[in-house]
Amino acid sequence: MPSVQKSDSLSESVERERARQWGRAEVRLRVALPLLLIGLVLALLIGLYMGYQPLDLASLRSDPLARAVFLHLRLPRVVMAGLVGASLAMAGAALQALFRNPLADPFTLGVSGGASLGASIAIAFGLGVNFVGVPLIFIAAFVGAALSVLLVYRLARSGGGVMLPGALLLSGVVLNLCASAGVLVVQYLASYGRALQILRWLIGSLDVVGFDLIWKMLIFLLPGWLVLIAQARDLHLLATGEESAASLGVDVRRTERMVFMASSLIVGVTVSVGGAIGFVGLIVPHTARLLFGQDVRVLLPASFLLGAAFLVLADTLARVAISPGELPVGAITALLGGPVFLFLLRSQQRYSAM
Amino acid sequence: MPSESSSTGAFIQADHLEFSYSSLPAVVDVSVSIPRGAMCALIGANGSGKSTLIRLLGGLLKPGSGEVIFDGASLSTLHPRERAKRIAYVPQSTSNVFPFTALEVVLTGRSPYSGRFRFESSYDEQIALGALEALDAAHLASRHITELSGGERQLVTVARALAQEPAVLLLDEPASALDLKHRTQLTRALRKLRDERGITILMITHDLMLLDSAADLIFAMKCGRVIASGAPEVVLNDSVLGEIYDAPVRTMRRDGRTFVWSEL
Repeated sequence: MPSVQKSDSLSESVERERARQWGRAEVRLRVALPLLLIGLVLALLIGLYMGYQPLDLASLRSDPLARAVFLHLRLPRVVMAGLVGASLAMAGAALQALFRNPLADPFTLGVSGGASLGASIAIAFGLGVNFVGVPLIFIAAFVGAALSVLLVYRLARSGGGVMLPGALLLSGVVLNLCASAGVLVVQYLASYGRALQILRWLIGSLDVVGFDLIWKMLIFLLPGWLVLIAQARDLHLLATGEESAASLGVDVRRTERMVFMASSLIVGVTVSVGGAIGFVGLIVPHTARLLFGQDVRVLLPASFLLGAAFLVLADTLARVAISPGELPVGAITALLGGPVFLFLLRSQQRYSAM
Repeated sequence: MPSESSSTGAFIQADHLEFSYSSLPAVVDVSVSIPRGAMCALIGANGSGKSTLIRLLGGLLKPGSGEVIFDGASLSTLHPRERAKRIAYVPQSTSNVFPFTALEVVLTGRSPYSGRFRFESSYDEQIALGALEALDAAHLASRHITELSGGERQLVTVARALAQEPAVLLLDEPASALDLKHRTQLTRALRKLRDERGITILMITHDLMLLDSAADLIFAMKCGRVIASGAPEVVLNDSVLGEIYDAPVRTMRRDGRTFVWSEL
């Protein structure tokens, strides 16, 4: 046997072994988590460094004003972007698996629309204030989100209980239209001052002063995240088919309820703070799939970390692109996300399956 | 774990099962008993209630009245995950939206055996690969299910059921998308599972020609009722088939096999 051939078959078998290892979801998760954590830390550092004025460590140490600006404005804003990005991305990944639809996302399903309407009504009635320390607008947005998720789910199920993917997205789109019409009506009927408040809120911003609001958000977001992560295995089984999942012992209705509640909570809270930030729940999970495969148990934590990094960077871009002015971050995500999504759709025809 | 009581009687027994979708009755007063280690076929016209009955027997639907006794105990008292270790169900169709690999799909059959936050072990992987091999489908392991033909996908779904290491295998038209070669292969594989592992099998089929050599017992359904049951030579005759298909069906026995055709 010539030695060349021998080394060839050796490298081939090494290659095969590597492919076999990569085929294991557990290995992919072990690779994904540290890589994405490093990526997130880098994104956070970039987000903290860049801004109206680049970060200057020396003045941060000597100048109390610079320190206050950093601690009360830039740091919370970057953290806020991370929280919102992680939440929307993980909710998108979970909803895609639950509905077995790669184009599902809090926005395409009309969930954020419902949340917007709920929040607008709350503002119009002057309920933007706190209720035992918790902004009532969170609760109103959560109720709006939950109602729309249930409505879309009902509409997308045929009489026989089969999920119709086309009907799902169409119901989502129509629901979004109805919700924005509803917001217009609310705005029209509300007093001038409150209508303006609704408008400002609808544009949305990740701008935040101090950590007070962030703590309040976390009260809602943390349980939502944990519930979604706890459902990862059942969502993975559901992604391969509802009947198969049921025959493997998954309580499908219970899983649906848990994921509906958790994602409505997450989307409601993030929308009521950050406004309409589209595409995060769509592109981030798909990018995570391309990088780390289809297993939902890998996909949920990967989307969480990748979503945080993505929105921190997108928000940094929004802050510095037309400095000293500022772009709405939703415009950035849509401008970045649209083309990326279309590219995905084109290069990976299978993702286009409706 | 065969219990004494069931070794003499039925492994799965349905007692006066009833089930309706809204107000539409799908299964009406069905009592059947399936002995341990038997290979059974469920035949009948489209819409006669076969799929509903097999879902009831698999515990995927709760009967409106009556009950399913599995291995001496009521099926409804068995926790779904425990049930999934004993009864595997192959649905007519599965989702192929996401490009999972065939191996990933088969590995989901191991989920009843591991915890919520656990990944599959290398032992689970061996079982999954073995299940694909038992169906001559090992070459599909790393292929994406979205790229497979309908027949190949059916084999993967059956392999997932085998990965559950069940005592009972329920199959809803597993061969509908298979060509003659693969259909024969699947039937042979199922027969081997019965002979070597003692798995009890019930499958819905429209392929009456294979039944003589593939089924120990046949249940014939019409309008939600089981109107005939027994060995192939008992059930496969002009009058029973004519009644369940509501069409002039002719049968002929030759060399221990039944040939079935219908008059136009």
